[in-house]
Amino acid sequence: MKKNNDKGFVLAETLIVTAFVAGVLIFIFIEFTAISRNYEESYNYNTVENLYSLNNIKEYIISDYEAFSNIKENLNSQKSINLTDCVLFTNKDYCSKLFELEQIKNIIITNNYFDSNDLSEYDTDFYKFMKSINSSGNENYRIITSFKDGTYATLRLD
Amino acid sequence: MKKNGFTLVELITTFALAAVIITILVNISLILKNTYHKSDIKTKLLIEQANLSKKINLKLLESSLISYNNCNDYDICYVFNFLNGSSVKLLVGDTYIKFDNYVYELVDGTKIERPVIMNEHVPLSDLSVNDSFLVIKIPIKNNLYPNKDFGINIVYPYNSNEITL
Repeated sequence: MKKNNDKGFVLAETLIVTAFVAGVLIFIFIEFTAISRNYEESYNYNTVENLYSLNNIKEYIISDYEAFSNIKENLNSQKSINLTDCVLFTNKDYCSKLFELEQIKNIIITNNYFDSNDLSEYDTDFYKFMKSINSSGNENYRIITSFKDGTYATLRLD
Repeated sequence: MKKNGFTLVELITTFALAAVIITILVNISLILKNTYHKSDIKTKLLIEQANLSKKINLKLLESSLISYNNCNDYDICYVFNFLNGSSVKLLVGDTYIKFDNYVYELVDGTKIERPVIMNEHVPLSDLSVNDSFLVIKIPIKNNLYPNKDFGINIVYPYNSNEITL
């Protein structure tokens, strides 16, 4: 009886190799996408320009003794306070002007028990930035800001 | 008869598959090259923005500003005078910005829009606190990122009852 020619690959071998290669490519694609997204986001977080802006705001908050005392008192019972509307400040017009010139969209102040999960009420990108903050837990207060150009920054108020 | 080699169908299939794979790989490499180029430009612009912002902010924070005026040498030129007697020039050209001894040369495809240096005043009853702002805004745009401003926006608070800018 003539022997059959059994060169070549069977279907199962081909499928296994194809599945393995596809799996590796999908894994690489997912990792590359995540790295690329983090890389893009890092451009928008804590730029030098924004940190100097926050420094101005920090100096202003600290200089308004009455307002800062009220804020500290409120933070004993609340995890965070939204300062965007300037209601808590002595000179609301000055505060509004400062925030307008610094292009502030949202600004909140938190205490040393800062936990980003308590701040999920804010928009997705702002919340994502808050989650990226490494809070040491030893700081007293922290301001977290979103700017109108889509950038974000944070600064401690020790 | 012994049969060596490939059939016509196998050859056509192989070439077709190879062509598809090569097309995909070329597209991916072009996308990556474009992404790299865009990221390179963005990084350069952000670094220059950071450097210029730092230079100006540090000078304003470390030395008390007492006045500023037009240089009248160029279209956009200002001299900032400080309490310690020093003064610094800010020059804005078509392709460069010069502050003191720091020069920011624009990368290709970047242009400087009209700079704005102005004062904003908020009337306050308390004369001992800051009530005014000096704003230095120099917008810088790049063709690859038309909606993003890579310029500087510096706000310097001061008390108009102590100094007049």
